[in-house]
Amino acid sequence: MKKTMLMPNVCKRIGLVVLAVSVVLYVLVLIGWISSSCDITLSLNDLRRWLGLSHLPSKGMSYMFEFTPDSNLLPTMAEILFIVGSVMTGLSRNRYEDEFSEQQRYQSLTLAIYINALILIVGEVFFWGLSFVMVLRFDIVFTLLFYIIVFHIKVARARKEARHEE
Amino acid sequence: MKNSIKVQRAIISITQEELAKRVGVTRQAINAIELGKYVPSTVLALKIARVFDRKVEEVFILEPSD
Repeated sequence: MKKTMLMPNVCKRIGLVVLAVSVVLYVLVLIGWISSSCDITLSLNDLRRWLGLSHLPSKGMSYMFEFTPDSNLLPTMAEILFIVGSVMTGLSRNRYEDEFSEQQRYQSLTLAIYINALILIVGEVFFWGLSFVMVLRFDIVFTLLFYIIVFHIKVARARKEARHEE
Repeated sequence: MKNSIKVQRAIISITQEELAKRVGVTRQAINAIELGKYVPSTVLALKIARVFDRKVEEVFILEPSD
């Protein structure tokens, strides 16, 4: 009767795998185990070639990619995988989805947005420059993660209560 | 909002699981409704009342604070 914007249940399992891969990748990058052995770097020319912009004059375009020359792409890839994985995990249907779980999703998302706003306020007050950008990156990832954790805690708690009641 | 789902279930001898199956929700949802932690939608309330062959007002009762 009611259309939902959630992805099918199978996406949850795929999302969890992507999430796990991204976390492992990110940890390996952080501890420096992976960067020395397989450094994926991107130069301005590579990027222009991949985007099909090689025919354009470099003078006009260069300012767009000034931040990318010779940067290691692994942390960026890990972050993108983390965002994709957490969206797939958090926004996929549970095996049994009903209006009660819809309410639990709504409550979890509301709480996550409050936390998101709090982190932003703290970031605005105590951080500036590049540090603030780091806070923003952390905030984007943390909001999704917080939503997933709170929602699954709520589902588990409801399941436990129902088991006790019966 | 109070409800008499537990009593009505006892009258027709069905479990939360069975009621949940009949109205198409999870057992957790029925349990949360029974405990007053979740107020069902109009559609779900009507479905629950129909299982018990009662009017909605007989199963779900408004309180002065509502």
